[in-house]
Parts: sequence; structure tokens; C-alpha cells
Amino acid sequence: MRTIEIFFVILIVLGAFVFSLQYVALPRPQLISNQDLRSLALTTLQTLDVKGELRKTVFSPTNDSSWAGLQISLTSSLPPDVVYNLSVYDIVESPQGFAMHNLVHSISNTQSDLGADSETIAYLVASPSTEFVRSPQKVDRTLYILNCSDSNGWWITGYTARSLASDVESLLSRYFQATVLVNSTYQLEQLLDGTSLKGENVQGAIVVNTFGEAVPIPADYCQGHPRESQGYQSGSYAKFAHTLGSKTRQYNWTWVSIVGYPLYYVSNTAIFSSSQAWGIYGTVQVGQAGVRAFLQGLDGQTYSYDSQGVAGSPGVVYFTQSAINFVNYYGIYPSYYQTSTRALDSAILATYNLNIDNARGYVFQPVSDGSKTWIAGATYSHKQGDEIHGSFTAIGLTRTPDVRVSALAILMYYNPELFSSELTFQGSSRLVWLELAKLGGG
Amino acid sequence: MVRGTIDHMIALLLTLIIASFSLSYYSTIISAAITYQSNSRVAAKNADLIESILQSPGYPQDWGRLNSAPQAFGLQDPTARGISVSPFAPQKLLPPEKTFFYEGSWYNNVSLTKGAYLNLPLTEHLNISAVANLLGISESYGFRLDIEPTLTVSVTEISYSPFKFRVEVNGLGGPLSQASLKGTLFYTKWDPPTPSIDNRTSSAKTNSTGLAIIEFPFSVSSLRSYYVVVIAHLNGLVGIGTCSNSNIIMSLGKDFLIPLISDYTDEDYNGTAKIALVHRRDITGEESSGAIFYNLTMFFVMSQDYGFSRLEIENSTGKVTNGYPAYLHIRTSDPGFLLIGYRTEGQNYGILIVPWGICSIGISVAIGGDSSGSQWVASNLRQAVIGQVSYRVKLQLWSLQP
Repeated sequence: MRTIEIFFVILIVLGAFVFSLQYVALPRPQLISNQDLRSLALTTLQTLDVKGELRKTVFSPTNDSSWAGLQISLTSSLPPDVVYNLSVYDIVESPQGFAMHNLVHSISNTQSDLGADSETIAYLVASPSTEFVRSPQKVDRTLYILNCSDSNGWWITGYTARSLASDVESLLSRYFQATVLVNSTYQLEQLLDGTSLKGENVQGAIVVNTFGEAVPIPADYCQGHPRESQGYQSGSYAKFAHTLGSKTRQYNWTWVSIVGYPLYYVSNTAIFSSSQAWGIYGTVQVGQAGVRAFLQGLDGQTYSYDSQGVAGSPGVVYFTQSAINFVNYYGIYPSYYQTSTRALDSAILATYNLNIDNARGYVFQPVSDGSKTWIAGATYSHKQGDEIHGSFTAIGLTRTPDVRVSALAILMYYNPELFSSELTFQGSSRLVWLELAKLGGG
Repeated sequence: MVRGTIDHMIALLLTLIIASFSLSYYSTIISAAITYQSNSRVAAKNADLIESILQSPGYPQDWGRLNSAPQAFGLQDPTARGISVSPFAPQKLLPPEKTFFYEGSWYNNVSLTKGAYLNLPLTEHLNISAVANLLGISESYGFRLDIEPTLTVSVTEISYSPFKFRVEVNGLGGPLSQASLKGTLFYTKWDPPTPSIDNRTSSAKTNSTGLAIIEFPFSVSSLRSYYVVVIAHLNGLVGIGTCSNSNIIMSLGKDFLIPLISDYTDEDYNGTAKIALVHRRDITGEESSGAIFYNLTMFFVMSQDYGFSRLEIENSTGKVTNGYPAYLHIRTSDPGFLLIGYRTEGQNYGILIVPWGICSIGISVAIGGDSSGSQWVASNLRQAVIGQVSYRVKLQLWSLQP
């Protein structure tokens, strides 16, 4: 009897032991140290997509040879004991309005299932042809670009006025209501008379002089021609600069000088065919009186020949923080530091009643040498009260011109807004699933 | 009575047997669970460490290019971020194998492929204990960090008339077939007294076994010196391989011009790195003391087409004599290599490069201890990009506690 009791006890103890064993189970080694296949998968896809190669393949037709290349790359980059399954899904909208994943293509280096210990990551790729568009606000003004075929430039070495005009047009035309190339000095004369060339609005326009330190002069304003009194006086063509300043004031233009000393020469290859300055034919020197005459005209002062220098050479100048911000906003990236040898004396602000907007007027930080302050690049507005009557953008950098600086100055001043378009999800993105598993780890 | 006692004795014996069996089996399970717990901690620590190493540039961020040890350890490229690893920081981890003394400083002569020299100031080297201290694992964990190119591109000369090379490209999982190869050959031309450097390019594609022959439309009757760089790429994977030869190596077996990186940031020269070109006799005390005429230029890896763009250096030609080294400065913000062609008075030509950044010629870096005596080693692998070259980073970690 006792023996039977003992056997029952043994059975009970053994039963309890076996029962408890079901709940005392050690984890599998793969769970203790699983080599973080998820991070390996993610970094593998990121590496393959660094130069956009992965997304190009993902959006290629399924019979494209790049899929074979992707398979070879995956096999070569992963350890030999790791198997993978890469699947690409298109994200579409179902008729019921929710997102659905449609399998596009799948590649693998194994024919069997990867097992329960596999790890999977999802990686979203945008189509390489997806364009994220930023549409600019159109400033309701006309952009005139001097492109006169009968004039020559100076301090634009390495370029021609025509090539600079083309560059300015491609940089700025999208921001203005109308862009007009002024193709001859005759057209410039029409413009000065307030006549539109193609039905555009002349008032409040921006006029970009791409001829560097020279400015085209219509024939009629030259000595011995009908409008000589507006262009030539006492042996100097500074009078023409005064006329330009007056017209700038009259039509509330912004006159833009892209490099060097503004209005230092006038140019008309037909009228000045036998005259040259520094070897450039068709050009007559005006000198330092040019910019002073222009500013007199802008300020409404009577013309008075004044050749006292107004430009200096501060050397290396740096963008203002405002300019740097606008560089990123408009995506125009000239060098943040330039060399200026024709910066304007800040004394002209008081002399000619000019104002520079602190937030949007200064392109370069002013430089003081103790006695004077030099402004290498800024937009000067002539104000009467709160009203602006003409502006002058002077970029006094040394040659050769970087028109991006002038373009930046104009955009800073007018500050057209950029509107971002929506990036639609459907059809422009695909989901890449990469599943990894270790051989023998299932 | 006797029968009852015997029953009790048998019962006690059987109970003791079962109890001891259960206890021993349970203690085995508990012991294993404790071991598993400890190993799990090592694995978790490994995952944490590799993330902190690769997702942080350390402090200061540019410590790989500066004359100072980092105060926080990290290898992420501070300019590119993401999965990019700094090309320069791992240079300071290269273990000292052969060291030599020159002008009051010790230098680490890193073994590279023929024709490539990286002689780094030993004071800038970060050893295992320094790295362990910075990672906060000294005396707790042992580690080994391996940074290796994902692709092995092996380039061997077949002939120089015309210039023909055998290229073999292999990855971790096997050969890389259908890979596009772009080769650039730099060759010294005789222009007295300093040799000028010409370069040619050529392309090829690997076959199903990862092999290709790359030929340059250029041949010479007698060899002066050349350096060829081959970049292999396929669907985002990029590898780099090099090969070099010269008549000075063929005839004398060694280069006579030795470049040293003597200063990572020379404050007198806008923080550029200072490199000394030294006559071999100044270091070894052997060989002849004849003058060496050199010509040098630095190249960067191009961003899109896997070629090279050239950056001219001031005083790029000159002469080095026994006791009179030449000094030059290179911009350190981008990886590239300094290519130097030279000629001795005895009309022997040589060519060598100084890689700046481990990705320039696909250098591997390994730092750490030996895990062979450990019971459990946790391992983690990540893919990364250094410069434009695909690399893999592997961290092994084991506990030092008994």
C-alpha cells in the first residue's frame, strides 16, 4: 500500500515538474542578439539611394536591366549568410478613398520563405521625375533689359552685353509682369520718351543696364543731333546721364548698374565710330561726372557739371544677413564676399535725398575707413515724404560682373513671394519593403 | 513495523532523487537565463554604441581634421550627416604598425597599396583605451570596430605598352558583375627638370565573374611612372581601387620621396594642412643624397561622373635635397589625394599619392581588441557612405566581466 502511495507521489511531483517546464522556456538565441537586421536593411537602402540610383530603378519598367543590377548590388553588399526579399509597392487610392498598396515588382535571393525571424523595413522613395514647383508672384512692373546692338560695353570683359542680357532675362523674367529687351539705341530713345515697345507699362519699370560702366546713348542725344541739349553740354555727355536720372524720376524707374562706376562712358557705335576708350570703339568717356549728373536728375536738381569723385575702393565686401536670407529664398547663389573698387560714398544719401531700406536695400555691408563710409551695393530710393520717385541700384564691384548679384539686389528690393505647389502623394512615390533574415536563424 | 520502515526509506530515497534531479535541472535553466540576460545586455549595448558612433560627429565636429583629440567620439560626417561617415576621423584610428622619428616627432607609417603613403603624426593617433574611455566602456566591455569598403576593387597591371589592367570587383556576397568601371591613368612625362603629369581616362564593364580588362589608348616604350585609379559603380554601390608602378620601384624597390602630414591645421596658412616632402635619406640615413625634382597636384573625386577635378597648389614644382625638405599646404575640407610625380638626378622616375580621407583610395580601418577568448560576442553591421565610396561598419562587443 505504501508503495502505491509513493508511486502516486512520484507521479504528482513529476507531473508538476513537467507542467511547470511548459512555462520555463528560454528565449531563442536569435532574440538575445539578433544583429539588428532592421538597421542593416535601412542603411543598405539609404546607401543605394545616395545618388538616386535606387529610386531610378524603382520607377523603371519591371523588364528594365536596372532591376538585375539592383539584385546584384544587394547580393554584393549584404553578408553571404543574409537572405533578402525586396518588394516595391505603388500607392494608389481605392474607389472607397483609402490608400492601397499594389505590388509592382519583387526580387529575392532565396526561393523559400524568410521565416519568422526575418526583419522588415519600409522605405518611401519619390519619383526622380517629381517636380516640386515654386511659382513666383509676378511683380506688376516691366523689366527692361538694355540689349542695344549698336552699343559696346565696358568692364564686362569675358561677356557681351547680349549674353548678360540673356542671363538677366533667364534669372528675372519669371518675377515680372513683362520683360522687354531694348534691342537698339532707337528703342531706348522711345523708352525715354515714355513710349512702350510692346504694349507694356512703362511707368514704374526696372531698367537693367547690361553695358557695365558704359550706357547706350541714342543718336539724337549726341552732339550735332536734334536732342543735343538733353545729352551733351560743354564738351561732356554727363548731360545725358542727367537726362537718364530725370527720366528715372519722371517714370519712377529703378535704374540698375551691374558693375563698376555707373555711367562712366556713353556708347553708340554708329555716332562714335572713330572714337574709342581703352581700345573699345564707339565709346566716349564721361568720367566721374556721370553718376553725379544722374543723381542730380534723380533728385530734380538742375544739371551742373561736377566731376568730384564719388566712388571708393573698400576691397573685400560681404553680403548683409538680409542678402544671405534672400539668397536661400530665391535660390540664387553668388559668392557671399566680393571685391569692390567702385563703392559709392554714403554722403550721396544726404546730398541727393536718397534713402536705403534697411531690410531690403543693402546688398553688402557698408565699409567705413574712418573718414568715409562706402556702400558697395544697394538700392537707393529717392523719396519725397513717403512717396518714391525713382530708384537707383548700384553694384560697385570690380569686373567682371556677376549678374546674379544684381538680380539678387532687384529681388531683394521688390521681394516677390514664392508660392510652393503641393507635392501629391499618389503616383509620385513608391514604397520599398526590404526583408532580411539570417540563414539558419529560422 | 519493519515493512513500514522499508517503505518510508524507499519513499524518502525516491523523493530525494526526484528533488535533486529537479533542482539541478532548474538551476541549469536559471543559470542559462542569467547568461542570456547578460548577453542580451551586451547586444543592446552594441546596438546603442554603433548608433551613437555613426549618428554623431563627436566633439569638436571636425576633430578628424584638427590637431586635437575629440572630447566626444563620433564618426558621422558633420557636413553630410545621415549615413555619411567622416572621411578624416577614421584616419586617426589607424593603428601604429611602423613608426619612425623625424625632426622631433614620431610618425605612424600606415601600410597602404604600393605607391600610396600615409605618414601621420603619432601624437594624433587615438588608441583603443582612448576610444573606450570616450565611449564610456573601458573596463566593462571590449570592442573591435572595422570600417571597410563594401566593394574590393583589385587592379593589377597586365602591360604598359599599351597600358592595360585587370580589374576584379567583389562584394561581401560575391563578385559584382555588370559594374561600370571608370579608370583614370596619371603618367609622368619628361619635362626638365620636373616631370609634368598627364592623365587619360577609359571605361569598361565587369563580366559575370566580376572581372574586366581596362585599356588606355596610350603606350610607352620604357616605363617612367604611373598611377591608375579605377572606380567601380553599380546601382549606388561605389568602390575604388588603385595600382602604381615606376622605374624607380622596378630598379631600386623603393620611393625616394617621402611625404609626411606634419600639421593638420597650420594656423599660419588659414588652417590648411601642412605636408612635408622629405628625402628618404633624411629618414633612413641610407641611399644617395641626390636631389629630387617633383611636381604635384591634388585631385578630388567628382560628384557625378566618377572622374577627378584638379586643384592647383602653390609652389607645385620644386626640389627636395638631403636635409632640405619642401613644405606645401592643402585644403582639408574635402577628401581627395595629393599626386606627386618626381625624378631623381639619376633619371629615375617615381609617382606616389598621399590620400586625404580614407575613401580616397578605399582604405580599411580596424581598431580594437581580440575577442577570441570571449564566450559571447555581439556583432552589428551597418552600411555607410564615406565621400562617395560605399563602406560597411562593423562593431563587435564583448563583456570584460568574469
